Amino acid sequence: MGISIAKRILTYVLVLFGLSILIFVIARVMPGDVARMALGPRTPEATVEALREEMHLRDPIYTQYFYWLGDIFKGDFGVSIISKRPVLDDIRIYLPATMELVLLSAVFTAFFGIVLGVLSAKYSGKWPDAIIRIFSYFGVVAPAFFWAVLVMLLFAYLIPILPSSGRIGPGLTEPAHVTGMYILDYLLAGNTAGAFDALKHILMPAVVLSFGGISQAARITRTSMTENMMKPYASAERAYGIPENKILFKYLLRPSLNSTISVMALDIAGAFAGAFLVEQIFNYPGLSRYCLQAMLNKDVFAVSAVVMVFGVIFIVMNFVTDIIISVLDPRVRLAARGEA
Amino acid sequence: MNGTPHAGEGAAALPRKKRFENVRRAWYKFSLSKLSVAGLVIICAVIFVAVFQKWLSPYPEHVGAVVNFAEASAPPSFSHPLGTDTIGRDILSRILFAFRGALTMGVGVLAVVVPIGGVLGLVAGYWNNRGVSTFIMRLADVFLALPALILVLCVSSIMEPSLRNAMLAVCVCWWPYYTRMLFGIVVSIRNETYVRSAEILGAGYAHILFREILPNCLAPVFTKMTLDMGWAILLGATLSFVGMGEQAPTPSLGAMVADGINYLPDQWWMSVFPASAIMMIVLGFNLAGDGVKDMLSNVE
Amino acid sequence: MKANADPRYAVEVKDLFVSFRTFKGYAKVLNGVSLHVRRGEKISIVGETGCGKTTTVNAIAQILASQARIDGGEILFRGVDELKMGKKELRDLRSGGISMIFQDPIASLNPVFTIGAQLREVIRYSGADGANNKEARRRMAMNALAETSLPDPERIMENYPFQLSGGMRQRICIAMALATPRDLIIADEPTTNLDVTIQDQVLKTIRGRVEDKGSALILITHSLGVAREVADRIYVMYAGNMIESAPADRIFKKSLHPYTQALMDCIPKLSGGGIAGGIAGRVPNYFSPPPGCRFEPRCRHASAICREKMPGMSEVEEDHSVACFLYRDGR
Repeated sequence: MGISIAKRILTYVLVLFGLSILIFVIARVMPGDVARMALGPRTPEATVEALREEMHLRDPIYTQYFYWLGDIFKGDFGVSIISKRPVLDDIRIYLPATMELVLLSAVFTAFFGIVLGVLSAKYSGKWPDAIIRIFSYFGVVAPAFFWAVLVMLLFAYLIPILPSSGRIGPGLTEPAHVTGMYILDYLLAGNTAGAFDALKHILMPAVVLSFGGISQAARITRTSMTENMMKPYASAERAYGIPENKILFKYLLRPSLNSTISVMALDIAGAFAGAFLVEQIFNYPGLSRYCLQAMLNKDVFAVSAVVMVFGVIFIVMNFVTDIIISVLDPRVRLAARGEA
Repeated sequence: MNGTPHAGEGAAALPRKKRFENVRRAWYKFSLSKLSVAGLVIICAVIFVAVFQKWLSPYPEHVGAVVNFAEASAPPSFSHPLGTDTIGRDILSRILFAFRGALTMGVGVLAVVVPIGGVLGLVAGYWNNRGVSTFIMRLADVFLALPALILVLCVSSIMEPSLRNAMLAVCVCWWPYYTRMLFGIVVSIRNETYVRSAEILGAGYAHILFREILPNCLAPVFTKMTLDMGWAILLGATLSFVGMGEQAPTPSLGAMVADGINYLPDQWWMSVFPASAIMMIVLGFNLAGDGVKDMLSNVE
Repeated sequence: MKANADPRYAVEVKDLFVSFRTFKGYAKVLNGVSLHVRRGEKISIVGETGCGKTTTVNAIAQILASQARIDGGEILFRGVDELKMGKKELRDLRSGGISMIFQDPIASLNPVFTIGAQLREVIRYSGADGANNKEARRRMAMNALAETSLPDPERIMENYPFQLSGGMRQRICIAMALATPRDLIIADEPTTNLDVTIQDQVLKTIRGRVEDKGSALILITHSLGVAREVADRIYVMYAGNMIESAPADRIFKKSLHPYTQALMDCIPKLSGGGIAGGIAGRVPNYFSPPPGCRFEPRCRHASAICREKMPGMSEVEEDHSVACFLYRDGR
């Protein structure tokens, strides 16, 4: 198993390296005159020239790339053009907010996705299945901004119980920075009212963000469950008199979880992408919104750094998913052991 | 067990009759689910509207930079079934026109992405474990490392916003999905007897790849294409939602939603209707995609 | 309900009609199948692929696929009609009464649980004595494996199905089916997917274990040779109907139905004569079956009446029944 993990890590490092080239090409080479673009047309030529010098823009492309990569390794992501702060500082502020949002929506996705999927398979062809399937259809096909509009209309305006933007109410002060996730930080500080307020703020965007994931997870769980239901072992288990619910939640769910988890990992990765829109709509100050603003303002330093951070997050997530699957599925686990 | 119903025809049947029979069976499988049929109806309706919008929309001139303050921000009414926007343009007319852009997006992206991604996948799968294959697949992995939306936003942010560039950005990021898919299928069938025998008989690579292997990969590709029409349109709408797609005054669904959100909740029709239109198109392709999957599966 | 049940029978199927929903409409797969298995008796159902053998036994075990529809008939198990049972009774039926050995040993074991876990679970719901005790369950599982002459049961208990060979897996399925006493064991082509060299061993294991436990057995096969080796009595099935039933030896000595005779001719004989010509024609249409005998188009003895009426089973000798007008009085 050790060797196969090492192999996998190597692949991921390779992919990360490739990704860094891709991002460099997209954000730094394709735009043309990066320095002029970054500083805008009204900046004096001398200032632009200084920046060109600083960014090594006069050097050949590959030298520029290695300067850029070297800087990243040193923790120097450059200075954001909009916020005028080092990009790394911005990431420190905004990343935890997005993480908090995505984690919460991942919890929703995992729980409701699996439960709805199993129920749907259990009542396959009957009305609970129909309702769940219709819901999951709409969850899959409706864009995040559709749900955002709908949920906002419902819970912020028609029945105004939830705030429509921000992370905390105006009367509150930010919690002391520990994890950067407000709910957690408030709880650590013993401020339950603050935690509750932060939860109220995050609830709508997190729910909206999880709709797609819940739907996908429910659909894939249903599909693989019904597929497994047709396997002879399901008939065998039924023929042996094992209770139906036990067959469902134990003997059919376990072999089905494989595909559910892989899809769920993609969904959670997708939630980071969905956050680009959801954070924007709910005015939630997270990294995705920051990145979108940077893109719209052609802030190349911020874009390339933040996208690189996302890349690292996704690759780590892939890795964790692989490990979870191999722990849950003996076929994968023992096959890996055989290889070592 | 219950697979015998067609015994007794098969060999003796005429080829033409057989083909008709296949079409009939395909349609039977597709139409087994009423939802698939509903999806097909939605798609046909959207195409019909996109083609004939000039004659169908109540105010065809409202697709341009028309200003009509007398009727600005009017709620749905008889003369404007879906209301008007802030400068008095009929939202229904604009939605109908925007279907064109949406369909162009879907068709254009697939027309580029499927052949390119597909051929790369075929090649990588057939020459698996060689340098070409490793190169193609690692390259695909790099593109697949980020969710499509982030990469698409990244690429389109460096270009001038327009429908054409939005399509281009989506194309740049989407080919690996087809490459990976075909790679997987080809690897699993490349050692089948029919491929081997074609090789032994000395068939050329083009013949083996396109006549022996490709036809056996098509079922999942068609299914994916139907679904992806919906996703490409959704991505296009998302791009125009953040301002990286079709530019004003040409209507696009995403941009209409984005504009409308600012007028929530009072002028809800400005965002809700275009958003519903996007959802309907994607829903149509999704429902139909499930039907295509049923149709091409071997299960009775 | 109990009044018309014969206490000597482990299971009795009366006039069972089953159809499957397909794209052309309902395919009538079983057309009035009747059969009985006495307590402790070993019977075999022989027939071509698609003649309804599996459907018959799946109906008995109540695990028919969802597109199947039971159109009529009775299945009496322990004297009670299964088709009228509630959920609770069905579970009792399954747990103590019937167990199955399937065709594909790879697919009939759950891939992500160890053999031991699956075996223990089956024993747990078998209603056998001591099934509530964890340690007893373990012992019974080990016993069951040892009884099917599997080497090193300790280790096998910890293994996953994919780590074992096909023959071992089929033995495990047998062990599972017979771990606790059952009234009826159904084996659906248990050797079809196995290597020729181990088919015989597996059959012997099944026969031996069934005899030890005194269960009744229904063995499905398309090979008369296999049926003869295992069964006391053989049913021959054709296109959704039973067409002949007789004790195993008798059917080999003196088969009556033209189809059975044709099947006999298909068995290659060591004494020479080469490979037989097979049976002309194909299995008939299931969707709108003609009124007459289903074998009529392929039968060399066919006459006018065969096209008009379906012959029912009638006993020509003790325990030997046949569905053919050739053996009717006054023909």
